[in-house]
Amino acid sequence: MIRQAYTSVSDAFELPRILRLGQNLYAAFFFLMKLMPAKFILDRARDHGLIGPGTLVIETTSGTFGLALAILCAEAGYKLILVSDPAIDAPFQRRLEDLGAQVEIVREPAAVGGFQRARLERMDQLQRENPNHFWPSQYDNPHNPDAYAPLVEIVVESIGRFDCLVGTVGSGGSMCGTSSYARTIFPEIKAVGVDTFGSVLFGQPDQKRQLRGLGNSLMPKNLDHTIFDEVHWVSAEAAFNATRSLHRSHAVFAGPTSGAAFMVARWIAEQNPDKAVVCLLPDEGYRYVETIYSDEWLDRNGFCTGRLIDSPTKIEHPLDARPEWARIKWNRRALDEVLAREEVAT
Amino acid sequence: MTLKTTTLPGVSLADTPWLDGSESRLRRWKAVGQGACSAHHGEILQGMFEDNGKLHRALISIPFGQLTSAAKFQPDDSINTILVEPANCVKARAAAELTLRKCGRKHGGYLTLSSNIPERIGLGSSTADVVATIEATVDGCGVELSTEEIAEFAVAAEISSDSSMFGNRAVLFAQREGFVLEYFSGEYPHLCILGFNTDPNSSGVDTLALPPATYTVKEIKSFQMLRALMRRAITDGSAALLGRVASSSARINNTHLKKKHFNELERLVEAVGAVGMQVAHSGTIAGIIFDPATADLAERLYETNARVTELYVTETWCFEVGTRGRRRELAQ
Repeated sequence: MIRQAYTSVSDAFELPRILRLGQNLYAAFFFLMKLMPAKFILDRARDHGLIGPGTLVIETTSGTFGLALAILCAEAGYKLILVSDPAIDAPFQRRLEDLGAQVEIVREPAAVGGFQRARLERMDQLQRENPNHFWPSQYDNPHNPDAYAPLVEIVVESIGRFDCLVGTVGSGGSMCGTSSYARTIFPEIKAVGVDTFGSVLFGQPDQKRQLRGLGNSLMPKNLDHTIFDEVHWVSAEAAFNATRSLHRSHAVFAGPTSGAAFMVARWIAEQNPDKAVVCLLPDEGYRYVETIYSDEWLDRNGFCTGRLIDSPTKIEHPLDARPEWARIKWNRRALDEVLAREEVAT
Repeated sequence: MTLKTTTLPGVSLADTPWLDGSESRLRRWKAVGQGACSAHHGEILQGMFEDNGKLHRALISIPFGQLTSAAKFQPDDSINTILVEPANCVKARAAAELTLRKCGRKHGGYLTLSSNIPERIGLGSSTADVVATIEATVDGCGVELSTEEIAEFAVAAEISSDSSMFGNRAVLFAQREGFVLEYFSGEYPHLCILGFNTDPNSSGVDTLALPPATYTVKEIKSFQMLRALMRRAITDGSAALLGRVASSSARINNTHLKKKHFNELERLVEAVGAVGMQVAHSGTIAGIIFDPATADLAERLYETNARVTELYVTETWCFEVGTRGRRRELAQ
């Protein structure tokens, strides 16, 4: 088909580039993966008459979903308030504000649920003050997973059949949505979720986490545990080093969630040379130039640089997961099932 | 191995009359114009597709060259109506009339159709009649039409038409608008299909009596995925990928027009090592698709035949698609 001029940045950058990184290893490398769910959520809201020019959109995020919303709201002429916490970096905040978003910073964490809970409370308050707002609610809105068909579209057109999908999990949207669409064509596709230690998503107790952009302190409704065949937990240090390795070995300049997905996908591809493995690389590296792309920052924050871990430790229960890298055969079970079965056994 | 086409119930596959193989089109008034069009065997893909922000209903038909409709048209300027034989071919008659008027002719003529395509089971009998008629009419008048123009005329004549006029060329055809949404990059890969009627005792399906399916946003998104996979299947000449496109489309559409024993059929496809299944989305025909390169193909076909016959108490037939590409491959 003939190439056309794009009419917006969100259209131009919504889809990833499909890269072949090895014999059986492929990557879907995004400018900003969250454009896909954010656009789908806002488009559906527009179709249902929930939003129009001038509507106020309110969301809590300190990450890339906020940037996606800021881009889309700037394009469509919606007002946007983003509730964030002190972890947001100044250049990123300036970028959001330059796009017209109002960024509200919550200064104190809640006693239970930390900053994430505190942000939700502040958002509740803002929502009460602005009754005619729209809340995209990426963690619970089913339009988040439903947005990922175009990703499957570009992957199957570029490489045809594939056997395994690897990606990080935060809201559950990308992995659950992509796997379920892909499985309408290839039901046997294996889904491998990548989480980090101290995230509640796959049964670890909540703890402060150094690796951002994946994992969660709260359980999102969009996470359907039963789609996963395997789950990996990776440490911040391992993910940071893998991110640098991805840059050095393939010139892919991406963020730490990409590094986390890449290290797991590379290992799976090596273990299964006859299976085509696709990993999702959700964003570019610019936001992390002063941190994980800086040896000095890594050193100052106690991360050992250049140390690559060859393989994960296989575990039987999520509570046994220990840094730097653990994996469990999830076998498409519910979370209760995975946690309960082990209690009987021990 | 050679596969014999078994006989369809009530039809003879004897050579169709009048087809002498010559495709030359003379730009002169002819005593008798000729046209012919093959049947199709349902669809690989049917659904709703987005193109430049607009939604279109469209389909990809599977050519079924064993069954044909042939038409003869004898222009006669002493009459201004069209006399058709058999007399019940009203869509064909309308197509001849419309074609004549579009070609600026005021006269009538005699239209004779001969078809061995069974009606109302999803083999495209009506489109084949209409396309053969349009071809015979323009041939008789000494006019040449492109395939695209024939498609446009066919839809104008019968409201909803399939893409039989494109033969072995894989196209995504907007069946109610009469234009091609996408030309895929080549012909069909070599396929071997075991066909059958999923409801041999029903009175059939009237395409126009069916309300068009109302698809959900998720289904429309899925159709886009299948269209993308179709591009890859055609580019790679992959029967396996094409089988996945067909199976997925059949599954989505089964929620709108149910086929008998659909779940059993899906399990059967897996059990016999087929690459997929395809259905007539507005009919009762279905087919199990094999990659002809599959080991023990003959045994698999026999087993499939036995299972299908048991499941549906119906006759089966076997045919190949994309053999032109196959011959080219062998010649290299």
